[in-house]
Amino acid sequence: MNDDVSRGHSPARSGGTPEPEFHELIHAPVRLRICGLLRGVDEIEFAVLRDTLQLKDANLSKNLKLLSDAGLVSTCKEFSPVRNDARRLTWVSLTVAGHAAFSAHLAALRAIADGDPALPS
Amino acid sequence: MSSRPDPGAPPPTAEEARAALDALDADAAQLAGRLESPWWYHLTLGILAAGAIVGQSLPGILGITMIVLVIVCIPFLMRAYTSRYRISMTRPAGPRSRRMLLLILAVLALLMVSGVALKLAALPQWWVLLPATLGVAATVLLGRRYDAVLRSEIADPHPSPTRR
Repeated sequence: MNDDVSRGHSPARSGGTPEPEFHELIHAPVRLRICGLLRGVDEIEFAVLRDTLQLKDANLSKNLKLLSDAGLVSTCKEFSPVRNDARRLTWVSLTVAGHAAFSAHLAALRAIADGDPALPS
Repeated sequence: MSSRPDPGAPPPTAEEARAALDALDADAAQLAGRLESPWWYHLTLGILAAGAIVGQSLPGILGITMIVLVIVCIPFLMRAYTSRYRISMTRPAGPRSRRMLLLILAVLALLMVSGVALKLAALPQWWVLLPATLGVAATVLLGRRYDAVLRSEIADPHPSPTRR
């Protein structure tokens, strides 16, 4: 049994096994982990993402902006009902394109982990 | 096949790919640990379900008002959960949680139909407390089970039979 083959892939959300496609932007470690967390939920608030990944605010913001600029992630700001100040909560989610790109990237990673010589091209 | 913007960058080795997948597994397990509903969540949901069941058996405007109140309260409950835990998760994560959700909905639908049946059978109104109590119990017990299945599917999207 090789546990590495199908890890990290969620066909339940992606609707089937995607074609492997390596995505350099997603593959950076922090961005890969951001997408990995977002894949399983509808939305996560910025602070939860930061604490779970143990990142600095600036590092997370920078990587979210790159993902957002690529259309893979969307953010939504709202006033916090639990804060007395004017700071906002930022909700982060994967876009439809983000789900597809991440699923394809995971398929590529599995192929590489499995020794597929065709990936990445 | 590839959308790499920098084709000159060295591709990850098999070991690096495995390490990346391992990191994702660890993050998924950590996220799953955060998705434990507070004790009050399913209890409140159960009370709302009981309200809807009782509403089915009440005559006229009283029953309709009760059902409308339940419908209005459910988004507030979900909002309270999301605001507190800052994770929004409204869909099943896989086939087992989907089946569990369908089971919960089927049980609640059955209990609501029984509320209507009690009204049609002209039985004393307190009889509706029986399906209402069952509704609270089913929501709490099956709801917690749903949470557990959801967490396990998020922590391990591919259970062992599909792994090689």
